[in-house]
Amino acid sequence: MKSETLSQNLDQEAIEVFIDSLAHFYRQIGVDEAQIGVPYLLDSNKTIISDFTGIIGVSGKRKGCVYYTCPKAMLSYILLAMGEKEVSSSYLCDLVGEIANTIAGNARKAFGSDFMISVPVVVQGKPERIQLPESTRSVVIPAKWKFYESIIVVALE
Amino acid sequence: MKFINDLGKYRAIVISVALFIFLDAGVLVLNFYISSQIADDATNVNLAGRQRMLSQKATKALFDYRQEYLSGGSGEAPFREMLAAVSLFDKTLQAFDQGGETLNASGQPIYLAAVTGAESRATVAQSLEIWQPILRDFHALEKLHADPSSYAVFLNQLVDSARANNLGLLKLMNDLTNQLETVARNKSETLRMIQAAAITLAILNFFLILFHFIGQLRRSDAVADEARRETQEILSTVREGLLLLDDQLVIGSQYSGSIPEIFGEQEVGGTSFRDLLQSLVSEGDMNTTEEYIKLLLNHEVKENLIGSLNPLSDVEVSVPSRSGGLQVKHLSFRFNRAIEAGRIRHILVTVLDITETVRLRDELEQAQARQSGGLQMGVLKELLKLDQTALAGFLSETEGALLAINEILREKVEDMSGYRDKVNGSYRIMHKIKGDAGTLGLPHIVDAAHNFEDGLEALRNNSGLKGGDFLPLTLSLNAFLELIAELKEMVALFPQRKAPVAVVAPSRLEADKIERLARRIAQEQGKSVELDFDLTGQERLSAEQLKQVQECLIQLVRNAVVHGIEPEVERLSAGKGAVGRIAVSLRMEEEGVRIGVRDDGRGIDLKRLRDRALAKGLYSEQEVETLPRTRLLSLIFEPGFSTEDSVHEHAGRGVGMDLVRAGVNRLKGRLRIANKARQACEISFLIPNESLMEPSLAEVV
Repeated sequence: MKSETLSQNLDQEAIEVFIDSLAHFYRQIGVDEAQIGVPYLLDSNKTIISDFTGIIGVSGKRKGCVYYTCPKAMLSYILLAMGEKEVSSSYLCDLVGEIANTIAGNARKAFGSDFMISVPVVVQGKPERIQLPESTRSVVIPAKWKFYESIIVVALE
Repeated sequence: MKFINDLGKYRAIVISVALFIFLDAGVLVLNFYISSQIADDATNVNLAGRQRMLSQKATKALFDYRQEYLSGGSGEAPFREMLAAVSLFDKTLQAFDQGGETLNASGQPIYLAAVTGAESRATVAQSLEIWQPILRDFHALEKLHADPSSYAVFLNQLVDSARANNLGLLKLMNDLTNQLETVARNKSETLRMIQAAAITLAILNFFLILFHFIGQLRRSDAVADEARRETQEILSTVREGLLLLDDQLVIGSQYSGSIPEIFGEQEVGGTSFRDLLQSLVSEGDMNTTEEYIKLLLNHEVKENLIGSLNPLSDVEVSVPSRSGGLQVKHLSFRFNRAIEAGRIRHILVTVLDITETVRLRDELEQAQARQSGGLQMGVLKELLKLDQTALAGFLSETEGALLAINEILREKVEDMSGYRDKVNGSYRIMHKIKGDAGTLGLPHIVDAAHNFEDGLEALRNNSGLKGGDFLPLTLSLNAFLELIAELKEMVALFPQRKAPVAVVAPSRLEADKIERLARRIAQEQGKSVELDFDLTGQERLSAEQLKQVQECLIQLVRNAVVHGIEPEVERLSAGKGAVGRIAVSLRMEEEGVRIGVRDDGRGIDLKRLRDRALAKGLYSEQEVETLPRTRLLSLIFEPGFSTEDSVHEHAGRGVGMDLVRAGVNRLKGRLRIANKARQACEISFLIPNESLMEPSLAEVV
């Protein structure tokens, strides 16, 4: 059971970094903080995708990907709350990209050379398929902001 | 000549062009030459024409002079005019004859060549003949000018003479003019012909150049096109990513079709290598790579000495996939110099997608780790003790229960009491899992459940419970699920020992299976065997008996191949055929059915058996020597007794023959060994009649 615990600790640290990064982003833009919900598991052949998604590839000691996905209405709300006048798709994509970048940046800082964190890819709508590691379940972390639910999905092998 | 040879494929075109220029220049030179000739001829014609005029002028001036002189005038003007005309006529005629100077129309001196044509020469000679006396008379007249007594008479004579010869001379001069004109016309005719011929040749040459060389160019273009097409084909087919870097580390325009596939980018030509790799490898690796490539570009560095510096020989990257997500790949980069004419022109980069290789390697390592892993063996022992059906049921149930806990975690809740409900609900389920695992005797699962409960306990005691606090629990749930999945996988590998439905027993002996096995073992041991089967009468055996017999036969045939049959070389030197023969038979005897496996190998070496028995400490030296032959032979059926010195897959553990003995015992049969050292060995067993089915019954079954 020893190896299980080891990887479990690693995962826990990694996932906490991702959660903190999201909280950090909300603090940074000066809006209310998001409420983190109870994390649960998701079969790797299932994915939950909302309107806008920022995907970050992870390689190194653990491999797989992390993505942040959220509804359009929430992004529009945040943009307006930040004082933006325009809420076109490209602005929304930029915002998701920004969130994913914050997560990726913090992760890079936190993990050092153990992990390689890629530049985020932003997708609007449903990507055909997000390549998740086949052998593991992903961990879903819901984050509630106002009335909207966004999620971070961590799928590491 | 060397220069011409150096021109290679352009030699023909250079020669043709040179010929073209030569022809044109020839025409030009000829043109100049003949033009000047024609100009000379025109002068001749003009001067000959002037001779006509001068002869008339001189005659007229003579007449006028005589008129004026007789009427008492001085006649000075006509006289001078006459003398001038005579002098010029004479000078010109002399020039036509001998070549010399005369005056042209504008009074300038001009050189005149002697006429050449035979006809013209004759005309000139004739003219001189007539002209000479007249000229003499004119000169005489000039001298007599001061002596008036005879002057009038002489003048009259001269006038008569002039009148008599005037027409003749005029005609001759006229002829000369015409002759010279004809000469000039002929010359210009010739010139035109030569020009036309030369220009025709030049044009022909031009067309030759045009058609011949356009054809040649087309052919060489086609060859170049074909080469380009083949290069393209190679680039689009090759699985490796290939690209060239220049000394500025910029990617060349030609690269293999797998490059976009590997990097997920469509256009890489012209971009820098750094841009391509920037988001894929760390800054440090990128810098090292650039330094490495710069070393490669340096002539003085030996390529094979710096190979180990390549930081990208195995690098893990995340690249965008076609579906929009990201894909983890393992890439291996190789860098080689592309040398042309002794200079390092480019660096050839070969990129291999080694994801699959790495995956297999990891799997192998994991499998090896698993083989030597203590945990797995412990769990395995636990599981083997259990009833398989019950175990499979438990594992499925537990998996379902764990997924139910996941559902509980997933449910949306609004407040603290919601979180508490989650903890309590999970607790109940986990406790049942722990209880069941304890009942079944699965301490590993009990431990896992116990740890999970500890986690739940911690949450229960947390007064300010938040969603994020559940993370450790979610992760140990995941680990638990993985453990169950692994156990299920393991259980699936076990033979179905206590399955309620028995494995369908074969209703016949499976000769082909035995033969395949024999061939495989023989091949692995570098031997050749041929099997004969005679299995008539197997209908008398029940399905259960057939199964037992089949197992015994497998062991006996295995034994025959491994221990009996010799390697080919040994067989040949013993005077046997290269292929070992094994006969598998089932025959009716008086007492029952005898089933045997006979091989024509080396037989059982009794001395070896004795040595082995001694070495194993089964008997003392003395006992071994006196042991009866049958007892000695029966040793081969003892568990753990093997004559093979080393253990391998097919023999050496001393289990095979033990299995045969156990099988024969179950069949209530009797074993027999017929051994002939170095020649043959048959091991057979008899199933007595009382154990067999009645023939009639056998038919029905």
